[in-house]
Amino acid sequence: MSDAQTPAADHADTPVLGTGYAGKARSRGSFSAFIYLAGPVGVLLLFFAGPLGILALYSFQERSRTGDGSWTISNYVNALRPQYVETALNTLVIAVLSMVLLLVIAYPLAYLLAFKVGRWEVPLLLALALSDELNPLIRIYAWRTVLGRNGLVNTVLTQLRLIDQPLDWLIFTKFAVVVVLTASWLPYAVIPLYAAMKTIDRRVLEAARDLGAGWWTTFRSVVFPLTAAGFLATIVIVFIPIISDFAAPALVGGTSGRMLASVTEDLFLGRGEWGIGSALTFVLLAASGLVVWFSYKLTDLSRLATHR
Amino acid sequence: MRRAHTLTAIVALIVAACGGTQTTPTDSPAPPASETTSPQNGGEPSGTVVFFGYEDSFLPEVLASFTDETGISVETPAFADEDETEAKLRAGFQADVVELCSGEAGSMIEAGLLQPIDTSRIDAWDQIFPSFKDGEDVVDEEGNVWIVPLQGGPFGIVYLADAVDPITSYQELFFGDYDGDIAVSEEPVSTIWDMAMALGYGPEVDAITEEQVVDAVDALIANERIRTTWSEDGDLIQLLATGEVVAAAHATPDIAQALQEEGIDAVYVAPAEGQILWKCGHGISATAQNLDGAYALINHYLSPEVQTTFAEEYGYLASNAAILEVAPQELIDELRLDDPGAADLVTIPEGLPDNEEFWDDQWQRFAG
Amino acid sequence: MTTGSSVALGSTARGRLSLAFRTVFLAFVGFVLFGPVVILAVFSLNDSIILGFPFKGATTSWYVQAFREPNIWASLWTSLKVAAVVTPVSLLLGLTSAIALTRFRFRLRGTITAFVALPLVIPWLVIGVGSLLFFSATDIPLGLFTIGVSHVVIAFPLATALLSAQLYRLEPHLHEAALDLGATEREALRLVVLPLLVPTLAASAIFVFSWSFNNFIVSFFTAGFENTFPIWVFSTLRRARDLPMVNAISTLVSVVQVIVVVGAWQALRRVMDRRGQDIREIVIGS
Repeated sequence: MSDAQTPAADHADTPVLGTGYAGKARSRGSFSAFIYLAGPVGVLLLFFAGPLGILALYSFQERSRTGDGSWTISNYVNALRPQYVETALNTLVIAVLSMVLLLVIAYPLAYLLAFKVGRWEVPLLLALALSDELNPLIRIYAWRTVLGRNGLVNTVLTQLRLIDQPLDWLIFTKFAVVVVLTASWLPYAVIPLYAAMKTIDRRVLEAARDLGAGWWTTFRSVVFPLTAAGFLATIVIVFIPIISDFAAPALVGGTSGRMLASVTEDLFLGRGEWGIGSALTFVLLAASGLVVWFSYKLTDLSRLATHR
Repeated sequence: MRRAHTLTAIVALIVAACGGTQTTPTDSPAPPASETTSPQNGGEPSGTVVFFGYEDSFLPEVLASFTDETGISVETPAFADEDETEAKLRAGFQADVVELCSGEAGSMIEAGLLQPIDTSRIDAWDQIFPSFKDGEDVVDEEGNVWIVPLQGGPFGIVYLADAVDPITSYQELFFGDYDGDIAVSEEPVSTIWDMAMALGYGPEVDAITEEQVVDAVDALIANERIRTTWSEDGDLIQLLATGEVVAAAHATPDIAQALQEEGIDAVYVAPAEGQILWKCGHGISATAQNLDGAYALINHYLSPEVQTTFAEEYGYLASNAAILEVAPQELIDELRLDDPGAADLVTIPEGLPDNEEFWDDQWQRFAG
Repeated sequence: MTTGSSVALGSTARGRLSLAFRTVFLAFVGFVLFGPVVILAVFSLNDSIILGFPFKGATTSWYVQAFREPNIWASLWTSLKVAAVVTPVSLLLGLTSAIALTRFRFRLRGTITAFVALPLVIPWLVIGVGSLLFFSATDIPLGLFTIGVSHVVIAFPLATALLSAQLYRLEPHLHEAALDLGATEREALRLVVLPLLVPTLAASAIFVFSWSFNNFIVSFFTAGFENTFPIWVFSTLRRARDLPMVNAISTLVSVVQVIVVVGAWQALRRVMDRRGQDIREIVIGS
């Protein structure tokens, strides 16, 4: 086995547990890895780290229309002023509400898809994945016809005589933004949960039921712990885009549903304040990072370290 | 373990960033992408000219006639709003002719993105109505010309006649006693200005003091009638048509016209406090490659025939007085092309206040 | 095959209630996901520029108008060109990084994994704006290259994730067996590993192509003269008179996409069935 002449000698004897298979001598691994990774990492360093780096750089410089690039910390000071803080809190409220609503819908949906729909599983999955690619920009306009004063919901409710006056608060409010964001990100929230659920053995669920557990108990003590990785993936994949969305607030948010990303977009494009815009962007990123970290803590750490 | 690696990744980013270049965006223009070869002054216009403007301005027959007459082809990247224009130009986007509106060009001039126009190369410069040349970013104090004005129009109030009684002033719009909500423009300066006029300040934008700006924003925050802000014409037409709002500030006559074509009784009214006159035209980018082509294009757009086409298509006022000799009489009467600054219209030039940043800042209190 | 629930649905009151509830829930989700698109499709045939009730009368004029608009075809072609280049590049980068990160052991592996995953969690707005500033600072002219590059940055990590997941699941012994039987490193890869990855590569291709074709936010900031289709949609939306035409062509493009993706997926499924693999592995592996 250790004969230096045969190709079989190229790999070490003991594979490493829990990290996929990798039977390579360390130095050889590093060299091959370098060759393989040169392209991807190179591209990322240049066209991903570069842009983020410039943003970070500008956030510490005077970069308004007449800015000269001198170093300053005022961008961050500006980014933390009351007006922005208020918008930030608004954003947080909307994002958290959307996230909660998403989870409330996504968990049952993932469960249904994983266990209860039989041969419809793949078509429904496909439909789910496709739904995001349809009419992406104009879709939000359609929500106005649903939530508007003379829209679908109001018309139906009026016909059913449940209300006399159209409901005003369905649109141009935080409510509308939450609804639109939830609808937009549902597919991305469901898929990681679905994937995690597929790993649960049906018999465990049946056992729970046989032992008399109701749905909440089953969820709390069986489903949630076993799908913790999916939960974290969902949060990471969905929370950050939600907190940085500016299309939904712009079209259905009115004046009370404004979010931080609208402000950032405004700063960059409307006011040419590249410095403050960059600072605010990083504040946003930091906030997202905090949420991700918090969710990471919420799920069991050791579960994630050893990828099954 | 995972966390540590994410942190390492972020640190690596910052390290990479510190090695980045320090050139400001307005340095060294991007290398030319067009195939033009003409010298900067004199010589026949040829090649390609890049015209960065609103989608509406790219009327096919106008561009075609230009290419037929001069042999220059036109590249037409479009933008949706001026903010995008500035961002792109600042990032080195190469254009020759840039469509600009008075009131928005100030920031681009400040950022050095435009070059002064040599009016001797503009055939009809002297025939342009005086009111069109009004405005610091059209002709500034030192006599530099930045925009060749082409079109203009008034801003006022549009309301749904079926839903409310006539609203004839900003004061009535904001504080009147009627049933229904209104929409205001998402442009900070525009809406604060409207409210300021409603409160009796102004009417010129420079006459509004900082305390008055704060007052206006306070009034906007307190106003319960404002349902939402609107961003473009299309947006506002939808809002009015679906009954979300019954009236809007800072709207233009063609919005009312579009609604009427759909059978909705919308009416445009010139507010008692005054109409703001917007003016748009062409400027030349500081990094223009085909200067001859640029001037040729501008002259083409300024010609009375093309101006008539635009007037017919969009109902805008034209800047070139020669249009009166070329356009059909009904058009002249309908649009009142004969003097955009007519006395009874009480027009106020659109412009940006010097302390625009202060206005923007205050706006955050309302919009945030 | 998954075993069914031990309580046969429909045979008990509880079962029937459960089924009813389930159906209502799925219908609700279906409405939330597809309602807006269907509404838009309906209005694309409405003889009015207003996107709202009442319905004025059916017409195909918006579609006709869209067909006659040259800018549409130019922007669609641009989007196709970009996606067609971005997809293979992303797949290549995704494949090499996935192989490296799952098969080799080296000190920076965890860090680089996190780094490659980072574009998936950084908001596209940030990447877009940052890219604009970056290209400006480095004097790279905006155009198809900058659009393409920014698409590759956001898309190849997705391919990496999908391929890594699949590589984890692959029997390590297959690879070692190949080596034991005398194959060189490269032969083992080419003849054993790669063929097993083909379905995942195909699925990744579908996703990456969709992402690139439909991308707006990043493209908006990194585009030069030539518009991609989503950018054209955005800049034309501002004109009320054109809203129905934009709606019409957008609906049409969506329908075509559905047909193409479903077709591709079905083909992929047939290939996988013949190999005895479950198509769901592509998703679940992650």
